[in-house]
Formats: sequence, structure tokens, C-alpha cells
Amino acid sequence: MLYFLIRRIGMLFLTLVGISAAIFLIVQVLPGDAVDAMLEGWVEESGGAYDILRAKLGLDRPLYVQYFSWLWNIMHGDLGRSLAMDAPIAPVLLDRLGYSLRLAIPALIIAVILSLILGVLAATRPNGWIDNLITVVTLTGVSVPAFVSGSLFIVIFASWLQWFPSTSSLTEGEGFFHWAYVLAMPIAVLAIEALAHLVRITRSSMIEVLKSPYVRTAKLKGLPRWRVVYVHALRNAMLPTVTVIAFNIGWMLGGVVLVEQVFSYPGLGSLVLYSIEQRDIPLLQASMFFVAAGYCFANLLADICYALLDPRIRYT
Amino acid sequence: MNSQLAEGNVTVLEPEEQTGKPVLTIRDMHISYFPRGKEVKAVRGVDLTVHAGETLALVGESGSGKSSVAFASMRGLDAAGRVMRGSVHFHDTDVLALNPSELRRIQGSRIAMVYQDPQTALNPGYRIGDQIAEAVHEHTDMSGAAVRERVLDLLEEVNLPDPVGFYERYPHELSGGQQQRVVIAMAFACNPELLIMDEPTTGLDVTTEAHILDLVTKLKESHGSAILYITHNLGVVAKFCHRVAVMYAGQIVEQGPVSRVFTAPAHPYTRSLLTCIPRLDLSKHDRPLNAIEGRLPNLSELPPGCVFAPRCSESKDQCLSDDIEKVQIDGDEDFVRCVRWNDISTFEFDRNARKTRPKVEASAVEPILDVDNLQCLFRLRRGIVEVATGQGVRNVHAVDGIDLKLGRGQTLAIVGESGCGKTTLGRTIVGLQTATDGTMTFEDKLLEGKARNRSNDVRRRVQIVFQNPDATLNPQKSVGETIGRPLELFGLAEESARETRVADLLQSVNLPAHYASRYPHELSGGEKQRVAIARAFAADPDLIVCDEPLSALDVSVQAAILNLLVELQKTTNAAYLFISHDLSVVRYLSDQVAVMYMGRLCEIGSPEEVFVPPYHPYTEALLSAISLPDPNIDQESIFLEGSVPSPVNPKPGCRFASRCPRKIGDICETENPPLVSYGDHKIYCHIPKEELDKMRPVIRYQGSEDPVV
Amino acid sequence: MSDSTSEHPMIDEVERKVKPPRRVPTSLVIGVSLVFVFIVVAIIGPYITPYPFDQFHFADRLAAPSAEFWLGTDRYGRDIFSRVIHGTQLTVTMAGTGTIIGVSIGLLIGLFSGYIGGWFDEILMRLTDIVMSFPALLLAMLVVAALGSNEINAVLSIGIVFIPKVARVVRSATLGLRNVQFVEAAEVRGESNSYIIFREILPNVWPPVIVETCIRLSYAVLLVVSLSYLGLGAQPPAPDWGLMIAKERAFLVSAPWVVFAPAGAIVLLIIAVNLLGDGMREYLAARKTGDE
Repeated sequence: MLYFLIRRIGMLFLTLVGISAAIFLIVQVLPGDAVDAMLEGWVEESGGAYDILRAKLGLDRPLYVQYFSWLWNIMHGDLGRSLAMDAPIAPVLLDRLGYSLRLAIPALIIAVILSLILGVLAATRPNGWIDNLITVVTLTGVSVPAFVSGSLFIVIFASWLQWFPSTSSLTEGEGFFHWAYVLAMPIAVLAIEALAHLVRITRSSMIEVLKSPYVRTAKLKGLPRWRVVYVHALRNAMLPTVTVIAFNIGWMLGGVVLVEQVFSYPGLGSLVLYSIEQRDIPLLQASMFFVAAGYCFANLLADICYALLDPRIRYT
Repeated sequence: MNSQLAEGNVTVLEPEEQTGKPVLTIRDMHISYFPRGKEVKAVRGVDLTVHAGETLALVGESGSGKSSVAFASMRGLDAAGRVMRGSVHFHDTDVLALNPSELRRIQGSRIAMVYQDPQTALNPGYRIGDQIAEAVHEHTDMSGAAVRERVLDLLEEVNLPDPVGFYERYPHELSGGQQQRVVIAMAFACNPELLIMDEPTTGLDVTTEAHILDLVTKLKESHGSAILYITHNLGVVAKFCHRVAVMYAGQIVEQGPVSRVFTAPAHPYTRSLLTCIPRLDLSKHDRPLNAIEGRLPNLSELPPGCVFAPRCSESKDQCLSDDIEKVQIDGDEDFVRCVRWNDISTFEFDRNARKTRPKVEASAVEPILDVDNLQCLFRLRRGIVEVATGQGVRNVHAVDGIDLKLGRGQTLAIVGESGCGKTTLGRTIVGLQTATDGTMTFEDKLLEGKARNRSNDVRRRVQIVFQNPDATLNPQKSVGETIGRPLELFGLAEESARETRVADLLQSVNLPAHYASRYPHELSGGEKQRVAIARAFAADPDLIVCDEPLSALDVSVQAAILNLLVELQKTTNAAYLFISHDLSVVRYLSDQVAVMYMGRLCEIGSPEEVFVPPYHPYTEALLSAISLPDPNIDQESIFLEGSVPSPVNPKPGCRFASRCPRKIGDICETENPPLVSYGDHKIYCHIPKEELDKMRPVIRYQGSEDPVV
Repeated sequence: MSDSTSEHPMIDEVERKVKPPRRVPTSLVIGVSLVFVFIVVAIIGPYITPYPFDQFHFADRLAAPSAEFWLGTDRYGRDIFSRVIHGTQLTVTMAGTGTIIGVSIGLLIGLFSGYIGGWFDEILMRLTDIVMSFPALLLAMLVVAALGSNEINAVLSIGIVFIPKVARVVRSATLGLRNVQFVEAAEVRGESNSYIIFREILPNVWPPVIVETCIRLSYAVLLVVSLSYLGLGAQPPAPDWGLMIAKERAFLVSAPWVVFAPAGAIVLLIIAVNLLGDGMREYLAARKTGDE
């Protein structure tokens, strides 16, 4: 198991390096750079001010030099300086990250717990009314983009029913209940999307596993039904689910962007969007890298869970 | 009835309550499956009784419905099947009428099951000790340390070494034989009164099978269980069971004590089964095997009359019209479902004493394949940690120095159990694997490692037939396309002539020409294998490697394919390198036999030489382990102790030394065994010739010292 | 080791004279019909709309649905029904093209990587790992940001995002087939790599590819509308559904139809594609077990 961990962490490291290179390269394709964005309209094209500013910002160095120095800085915790906001990136990023996590983590927890319950429920009574209901609801859940459901929620719950505020600002008030009140809708939107995916995979995975020979062995051993389902079947049915949970974390990291737009919420997703609009390359690089790295770690955790669930994997 | 399982203890039936009393009574059972809405009547009107203390065999080929009967008696049929009619009584309890909690009390404790594939029957995510403990926990009042003790006792009872260590292991860390022992331990955990075994040794090596059967016999005695044993292997039935019921297409066509059924089988199907199995005293030069023609009937559209009639050589008009009732032969439990059974000639077990057979001296035939000191080592992937710590390279010695010659038009059989390297050898010869050392010469030309590096001509003349008929044909290609491809690739037929040639090839494998437009999913296992053979012969080869081509087929189909292979060899003069683990088939088909163990040759010679003393000790053990459906023979019982050593970086010396019952001393473990030669018959062993000559035949005609060969 | 016969012995040896008709799952029927409707609308829709999509009717801005404007009008008085219909063509084309790009390239990569193996496979898989460690929407955003915000780049970014996932699925199916016996028989015959890949393996790899394509299609639609919602896809005045929702957000409460109409279209299309995917998966799975 230890060996497995070492290998996976090694691969993670390599992947992170690869990601950073990819981000860096893609961003270089951006037509015009931050300097153009900053000086456009103020100063005439080419020469003079442009070159001075570029030299100051280190944008005239060869590409690989820029890349390695950026990488080096990141490893030392220096995320650079935002050009558009004219401020160090790290504090802003971490702040926004915190906000986004306040949406994503509760959504994920709710989704995973509910999906286990609903998935098992649907699988153990296949084609019954519960199963059909769940199938229809989850089908709709995966088919509605986050911004559509977000908008819908705002119309129904904020404007018609007046239960929740239509924008999620955390400036007034502290405390868990205040947050819960303010963030209920965006969390619900994220949770529903993830839930729909997870229930579908849990259900189909359970149905498959319930047909396996070892489940039959358990049944014919005279074990009570709950034991057959929850001890023998569920553990092995979780394997594909873990993979999909990891995938959903990724999807959610994207969905967060949309949700933050709909609810005007200052999280990491809107930071990324902002950096794109502003052509703020350092900010874009840093925030993208953060998000992708976070996804990688989530995948690593998923791999570890997978190995815990399936002893055969531990020795690869 | 529930008092049998007293609170806190697991009770065993008192001796007075044993023998004679029916434990399981099945009456008029009808089971149907409903794939896509149509009813398939898999089981129709089965009556059987298992008495305390006995072993009843339920024998049949695929499609006979035997597994369905087994599962239905425990109410373990999956959702697709339904018991339409009939009753199942366990002692006096109506099993089909029990409510779920009552049913659960018997399942796993008083009636237990052992499955065909132990690997899938065990949950891969839990330790085996825990899985056995579950059964104990559920059905008794024991807890904690007591349960663990019981499990350790059970593990020891099933002869697993180091019970404490094995408790913690996961199923994938065990070999097939060990996994099956775990399943058996789980089944015996609560002293079941009835044990249902569904083909428990299919897929296990013959020596492992012998161990398992012996183990089950011992456990049966000590726990006082009755056994319902499902199998298709008649040899095992003869060795192991008291009574036998033969099933065909959902009905029991004959039932009776083993002694009667095997000496005087009444039903034509039983007779056919017994005569179509190759026997140790039959060779291809004697006669073709009596294959059963035709196919299983369509179980959703059954014609009236006897279900076997369309394939029966003895059928007359009366067999096709009426419903066939049971006819008693000798008491209630001994019957046959045939109207003509008394009219057909008495059964002769066709004793084929050794006559002179055309014996071709191996050295006289021009060799087409010459393998010299062939070695295939597989390097085990080393992880970074191992490279860093400087651990040496580890190799799996799959094939380790094999010399053999195959004559043109001859059949050389390679026999061995799983892991001996015979499949690797076959794959290397055919070019799917590269050898790491040694040479292969095909007609005086050196063979390159990979098929792709060989000349077109050589590739055409060396072909292969695989084991699994379901995987051997591309499901997206029609039969005609599959057979036609070698013709196209090797330029053996112009496009216009191809169709006729394909039709000819189909005919040569006894398939009708219109099969060319069919797809593999429309064919049965035997038919798919025939197409595979036709594909191999389409290239007009001189050498065909047959990698266990019969193992996945029913017994009656095996006979037909064997006859086909013999026939084709006669007409085309192709040579076969026939890989198998089945000694009877090998004896029938081959001109030369090579016995392999852990990558090395033990013995090589003609069947008449190898199957008769002097033997290599491994050959001796193999012969003692096989099961033959002949009650009139004596067979030695030699059990191999110890486990198969690891093929990774093996120790020097004889590979068999660690398990050899005839080991003579340290020399066996330090030096490679020398060649002991009896002309063309070669044995690789340290045992001196005089000792080898003193060996007794393992399988003898009853009451004599003559070997059966 | 050898298992004597298949799991459903009854079905294995029984003779089949006539193949019974296969039950087509309802989800497949509904899915195919709905998708078909959308495709038809995408093709001929723009020719039959009552109004051009960019025609202003200043007098009737933000009008509620009526006989004149079936789904109402937006803040410039443009007929929403016509815009939604036009948007169908836009969305279907963009999502379809992106999927086709992703699937075709991913298919080739997966096949070759899976069959040839070795270093080639290792390198390709590391590269796909890197691409797959970006959440889909974010990667698409990044690509569009780099190339410029328009429909073509949105399609390209979707294709790029899909390639690794499809490659993985195809590679895994190929790996499953690489050592199967009929492929080995082909190797023994000395067939070339491309023969084996395209004539032996590919015909057997279609079912998972088809299912994956349907799944990709539904994500493609999601990505297309999400990108344009964020302003990174089609630009105004294009009648893109996501764009419409984004631009009319302010009127969400006062004139909900401006948002509901395109939203409904989005949801309907994605449901249709998902049904198609589910139905396909069921149909192909049933075909596999039923015929063996």
C-alpha cells in the first residue's frame, strides 16, 4: 500500500508540472498581453513605453526562462502579482478559494450522502415506482445546466416565495445560520447537479453488483438482506462511484464558475473569469493552476479510496 | 425441525438418524426461464431423492438443467428462472413454502452450497477468514474469539497450511485450489446435513481435483452430510458417488446406483456418453469415437415423445409419439426413461486389449519441427524501489530448456497442469511469444521469434487453434469472412473461387455450406470450434498448434471434434502439436506424448510407453489422479503434498523435487535430472534405471497386473 | 482457467432457427425521436420562423407570450420563438461539430495507443492525464480565452476537451480486445497493425464508442451554452440560448419568459440526448447478452 502511495504521489507531481507547462503555453497564445491591455488607449503602439513596461514586468525574457521562474516562485509560495488589481495574488486567491469551498464542500457532502441512500434504494427495487421516480428526477438533474437551475431557483425561491436572497453576499452578518441562509440556493444548485450524476452511477453499479456470484454466495449463506446489500454489495458497487465522485468534483469546479455568475458570488470561479476578461495573465495562470491542482489532489484521494475498497489494486 | 439447530451449539445428526432417511426430496420439478418473453422449459418433471449419508450425482452436459435443479432446491435461482411446478422437501419441510426468515435459517447452515468458480464466489473485498466467520456468526450464538477459533479449525480441516496466516488473506491472493477449499470450509462451517456442489472441480488441475475430492469425502464422513453433486465428469462420478441421475434436456433419463449404471447403462444417452469418452486403452488407430450426432433440442419448442429420440441411434416410431414414462429397473430409485431399453443389445464396455497397432518409430519420420533447448523467461517488472535497493532481476521461467521433435503428419501432445508452460511453448512456436534462448527449426529453416518477422510462407504453414470457442472468432465477421481471410491473405484462392473453397472447408469440418453467412453468435460452442479449425486448415498448413481446443466443450462435442481432427490429419498430413491437460484425450490422439512440469520436460515417448511403467514420478502421480468412468479397473492413489513452487527464479535441481513422492535425496534438489533413455522413450529423473523398472502400473485391469493402455 | 461453458447454458446450445425480435428500450425510442425533431428544426427551422431573429419590434419590448409572439419578446422586441428556433441550429451545429472532432481524434488515439502500447502509449496517456486534470468548462474557457471568443473557437475548445476522455474509453476497450484470441489468430497470420486495428478491433469497439459519443453530445450542449452564458462563445446578436439567458438576466423576475424559453429549449435538448445515450447503452447491452 505504501508503495502504491509513493507511486501515485510521484505521478501527481509529474502531472502538476505538466499542467503548469500546459497553462503557461496556452496563455502565451493570448493575443496581446497584459501590457497591451494596460496601455491600450493611453499610449501609441510599439516601442517606448511598451518595451519599458515589458522589461519591468519581465515579459521580454525567453519563454522558458519566464516559465521556470514562475514555477520556482510558485513552489516558494509566491503566486505573483495581479496586473489588473495591482496587488499580490496569493491573498486574493486564498480568500476567493475559501468562498468557493464554502459552496463546493457542503454541496459535495450532501450529494454523496444522498446519492448513496437514493442509489441503493433505487437499485434494490428496480423498476418499482421509487426507482422510476428517481430515474426521471436524475435525468432532469443532469440535463439542467447550473445557470439554468440557478436562475430558476432565484425566480422561485427568491422572488416568488421570498425564502432566500437572490444574491449571495457575505458582507453582513456572520455565523453558520447566516451563511446557510445566504448560500442555500447556490449550494443546492451544485448539489443537485452532482447528486443526479452520482445517483445514476450508484444505481447502475449496484444493480450490476447485485447480480454477481459473490452476492449470491452471501444470500445462500443465509445472511439477512441488509447485510447482503450493505456489506457485500455496496462496498464493491462503490468502486465506480468513487471514480464518478472524483469526476464530479472536477465538473463542480467548473460549475462553480456558472453558479458564482448567477448568484454574483465572489469565489474562485469568478476570479478566473475576471482574469480572462482583463487579460491578467499572472492571475489567470495562478488561479487556473490552483484549480487544476486541486482537481489533481481530489483524484489522488479518489485513487486512495479506490485502493482501500479494492484490495487487488493495492499492489499495482 | 428447527430444534436440530440448538441454541448456542451446532449439532450433528445422531448416528441412528443417519443412512436411509431421505434428506432432500424433489418431486415433479418444473423450472422455466423467460428470456425476452419466451418460455424456455429448462427442467421438466424431475424427481430425485438424496438420502442421509450418500452422495448422489446429477450428471449432464450443458443445457441439461442440472444446475437449475441444484439452485432451485435451495431457492437460489436467480430472478430469470421460476419454479413452475413441483415440490422440494428438506427432511419434512417444504422448502418452497418457507417464509424468508425461516429460509435464511436453513440456508448456509443446514443446506450449504459449493460453487463452480471459487474466484467469483468469494467477495474480493473481504478477507477469507471474515467471510467464513460470517457464516458461523449468522447461524450460531458464538461470538468473538470462539468464532475465530472455529474458523481456524475449519481452515485446518480443509488442509490449508498456516490457518492463522490464511485467515487474513484476500481471495485474489489464493490459488484456485485454495479458494475452493475456503468455499468448502464456508459450506461445512455449520455442519450441514445437505451439501450441494455445483461442478466444484471444473477448472482445477487434476491433481488438485484429486485432493479436493478426497477432502470432501473425509469431511462428509466426519460431518455426516449428504451430497448432491452436480457434474459433467463421469469419471469423478464413478470414483466418488453412490448413486447417479443422468439428465438430458431437462429430464432425468436414467437413475440408479453407480455400480449398475456404469456396468449396464440402460438409456441410449447414458451409453453414448460412456462410449464417447476417450479411454486409456483406445487410440485413434483403433476406431473413431462414438460421437452423438445432432444438437440439443429447442427447449421452447419441444416435439412430443422422447426428448433424446432425434439423436438416438435406437429410436423407432414409438419413441416419437408418446410421453415417455419412467420404467423401473430395480426398485423405486432405479429407473430409466426409455421404452426400448430392454430391446436394445446389452452394453459391452468394449475392452480394447492391446492389439498390435501400426507403431511408427518416432525417429523414422522426417521431423518437421525441431525445438532445441527452448527457453522463455519473462522479466518481472521492477518498481523504482526495487531498482533503487539493487534487488536482482526476477524472471518467470515459463519454458526452461525444452527439446522436442515433431514428425510430419504426426501428433505430439504436450501434457501438464496449469502453469507448466505448455501454453507458452505453443505460443512461442506459433510466433506470439519470443523465446529468450534456444532455437526452433521448421523444415531446416530457423524460426524467427515473432510471427511478423517470419516469411509469408512459414506463417501460412504454421497455424493455431485456440481453447475458448467464444473468443476465437471475431463476432463482427461472418463465418465465410473468417475462413476466407487466410485464403485471401496467402493468395490461396482467387476471389471467384473463394466461395467454393470456403464451402469445401466447411464441409470438411462437417458444417453445411450455408453456414458461411452466419455469425458467431448464432453458432454453438462446438460449431464455433469447427469454424476455428476450418480457418486453420484454410491456410493449408503443415503444422497446427492446438492449444487445449477441447477443454471448453461438452463431452459429446469433444468426441466429434476429436474424430474430426483425426480425419483431417489423415487427409492433409498436417502435424499437430496438441496441448492438453486431459490424459485420456492425449492417449487417444497422439503419436508422441511429452509431460511437462514447471517449464521442463519430465518424460517423452509414445503413449504406450509413457502410460506404462517405467514412469517419471510426476507422470505416475498424474495418472493416479485422473478419474475414469470404468468400474472394472484398479487405480493407485498417490497424493502430491506440498505446493507448487514459485516459477520465479526457481531453485536448481529437479523442479518436481519439492513434491516428489519418490525423491531419493539431496541430489534431487541440487542437480538437474539426467536423461534416462529407453530408446525413443526418455525420462528425466535421478532415480536409477533399476528402480524405475520396478514401478507398478498405476491403472490396471481389475485383479491383474496388466496396465490399461 | 477454463470454465466449461457460458453462464446461461440453456441459451448457449439451443438451436435458433429464427432470431426473435429485439426489444427496443423506450428511452431509446423517445430519445431518437426527440433528437430527430431537434435536428429537423435545426435544418429547416430558420426558414420557417415567423420573424428574423434579429428583427427589432420596439413597440412590443418584453411583451408576454401572445398569438403574435408565441414566446414573447425580449428587451429589444425581438421574437423569442424565432430566436430560439434559430438558436437550435446554432447549438446543434456547434455541439455536434465539437463532438465529432473530439470523438474522431480520440478514437484514433485510443485505438493506436491501446494496441501498440509501450512508450507510445505511456506518453499519450500522460498527455491525456494532463489535459484531463482540468475541469472541462475551465479548460474550454482557457482555450477560448487564448484564441478569441467566437463560435468556431468554442467548437474547437469542446473538441480539445473531449479528445482525452474518448481516447481513454477507446483505449480501455482496445486493451480488452488486444489479447483476445481472434486478434492473436490475426497476429499469427502476420496481419499488419492497421489491418488488426481497423478490421479486427475497431468493429468490436463500436458499442462503447457509440455510447460515449451520446454522452459527449450531452456535455457538448452543456458546454456550448455555458460558454456563451459566460460570454465566451457566440457573441451578440447571435441567438445562442446561453447568450440569451445571460443578456436577459436582469428581466428574470419581471419577464421570466425571456429566460424560461431558451432555458426550456436547453433542458429539452439535453434530456433528449441523454435519453438517446441511455437507450443506446441499454440496447447495446441487451444485444450483447441476448445473442451470446
